[in-house]
Amino acid sequence: MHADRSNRVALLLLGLLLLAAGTAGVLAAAGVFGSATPDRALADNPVTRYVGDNGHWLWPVAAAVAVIVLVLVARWLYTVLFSTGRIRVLKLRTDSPTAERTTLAASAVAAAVRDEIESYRGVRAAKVRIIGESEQPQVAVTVYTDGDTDLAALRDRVEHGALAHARQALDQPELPIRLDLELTGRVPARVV
Amino acid sequence: MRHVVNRLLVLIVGLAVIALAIVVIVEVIAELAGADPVLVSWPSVYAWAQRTTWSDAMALGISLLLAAVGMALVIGQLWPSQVKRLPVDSSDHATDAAITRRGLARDLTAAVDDFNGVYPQRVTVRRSRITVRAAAKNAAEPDTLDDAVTASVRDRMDRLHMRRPPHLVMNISRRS
Repeated sequence: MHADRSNRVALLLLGLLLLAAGTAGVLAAAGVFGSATPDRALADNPVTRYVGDNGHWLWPVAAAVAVIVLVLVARWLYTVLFSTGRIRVLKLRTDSPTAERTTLAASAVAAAVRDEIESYRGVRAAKVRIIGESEQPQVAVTVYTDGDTDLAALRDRVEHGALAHARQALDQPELPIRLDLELTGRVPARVV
Repeated sequence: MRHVVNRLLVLIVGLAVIALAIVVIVEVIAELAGADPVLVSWPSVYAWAQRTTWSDAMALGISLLLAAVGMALVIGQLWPSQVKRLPVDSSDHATDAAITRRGLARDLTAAVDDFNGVYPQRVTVRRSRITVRAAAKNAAEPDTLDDAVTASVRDRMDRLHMRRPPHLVMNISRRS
């Protein structure tokens, strides 16, 4: 989810950059930057001259920057393509000042919440994901229900039942939870 | 849908940047080693930039292409996405509860389908408006039936306690 937002921002910035570059090129061809600009060579500009004069140190620096960019982009692509954002281990808060730490498998918590929700009347299935950071998790719950279920009553039951129990078990009364109710069953002729 | 397209675009742009970075690294190393260009012939690229002016068709074409691609990206990212979930009231402020767009459409379709002789055709859920299209067949009292169907659909919406209930538009056509 977070990666999707970042992708959108990155693509927006790239779009603005390309739009600015393309517009600048068209304006240069139209002579907006001076009547002599349309007849000037593309390489005839201060940047190219600066690069030509300082190539002995500029290109090695460019190569070093290219290495850094390569690593960052490769890492970003890995995150975008393979990261699910799920947490494997939850760190529980303790009052003890010692170095001891209590952890809990996130999948176990997710399974417990899912099983409890699936035991409710009208629920066909539930999907529970625990994402975020180990010490500051977030829970994403999707509840698939039958078409004739009273959704308001079911939502209350889920909130005061399974979700309250999850908060209690993790000792996080303010645990952020995203709850999506999805109806299954009859599909309309066309849903837009 | 947009996040899938965006991931694909990010993959393409990322691979292009990686390819460019590799070209720079390889060519700089080759230059430092006193070797000829390996992947790209920089002298010929520079020569092309020296003989091409800003008013040349090629330069203008590239500029227009960049502007068009940039514009498409900006519009694509700023265009409001279709609503995926509609928030509903929650007794707990830490819970972000919602009904999915598809779920709501199915619920309202079921409300219409409960009436004999009324057939749901299309349910359109937008952020601020829901349009329900249905067809009534051989209705004895059409107005009464319309009111009943509308009331049923509205009741379904009310039961959900949506935080910002969209405006409901009912469109029931007649069939003999």
